[in-house]
Amino acid sequence: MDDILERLQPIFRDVLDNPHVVITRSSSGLNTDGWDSLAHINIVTAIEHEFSIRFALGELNELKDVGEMIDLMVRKLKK
Amino acid sequence: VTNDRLLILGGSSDIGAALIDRLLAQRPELGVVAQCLDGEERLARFGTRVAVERCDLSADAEVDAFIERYRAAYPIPRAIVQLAGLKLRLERFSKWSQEHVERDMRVQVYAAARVLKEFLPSMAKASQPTQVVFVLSSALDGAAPKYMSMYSVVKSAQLGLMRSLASEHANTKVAINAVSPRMVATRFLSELPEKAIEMAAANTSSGKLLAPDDVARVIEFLLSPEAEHLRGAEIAV
Repeated sequence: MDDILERLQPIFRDVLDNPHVVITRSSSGLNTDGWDSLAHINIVTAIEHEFSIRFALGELNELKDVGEMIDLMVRKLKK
Repeated sequence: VTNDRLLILGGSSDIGAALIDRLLAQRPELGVVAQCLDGEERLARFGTRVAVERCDLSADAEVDAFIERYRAAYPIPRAIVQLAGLKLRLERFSKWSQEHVERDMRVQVYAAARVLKEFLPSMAKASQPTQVVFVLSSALDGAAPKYMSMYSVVKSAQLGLMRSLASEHANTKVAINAVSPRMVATRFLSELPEKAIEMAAANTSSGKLLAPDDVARVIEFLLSPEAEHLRGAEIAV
């Protein structure tokens, strides 16, 4: 999971246009500057490409933070 | 050379090709002049009934040259359809690019105005009904969508142009109307994130985006005798 978190850092830095941002499991749109709905769409699209996985829209609506996103990714990557 | 002539600005677009498909099948005398910036190869299958005119609508000199070529080679259009525009982008207002807006305004509004200024006087006095159709956007309907300020500004200007011209020509032969589609599955969306397209489709009653032909058939209606008395209408699809 730490490995996934590390691979997410450049994605968030690129999408949020902030080379200094550090994402943790508790990061979300509520506590991260620039993470609005457009950034969310771009983050999800970038993650799908980087990890060769697909998120259903229903799955995305239930995610509260990066930690839950990573947990979902782990489940998808195991399949 | 037939007098039944349709001029399409943005003729190589997916909606343009779908419209040409429909009209050529139903109007045997119709000839089409398709302006395009690229994608001429997509029009090759239509053969000699579609004349392709390459022109960058964002460049005044090219628009002038295009109008001159048109005047020299073709009859006054029976109808003009405006489809040309820059690809859709989702951008926060903080990323507003005046250069992008100006270029899109040149393509979607100024070039259309120059072409219409040239041909509308003749179309208005034609012996048969003539038509102009703008393809606008559902972005103009109600609350504006997020992250589309540049696009919404350009489309609003186009709506203003359409309505103004429709009023000025209300008592003439030329019917000026518009179709405002929601998101259509075309190359116009190629710069959008895939997830945004997926979300847009999920938010529709059918669960999918419109197909180019869904819009083409409404344009076809606006070009038909059945729509003769419509003036300044904006049909949502």
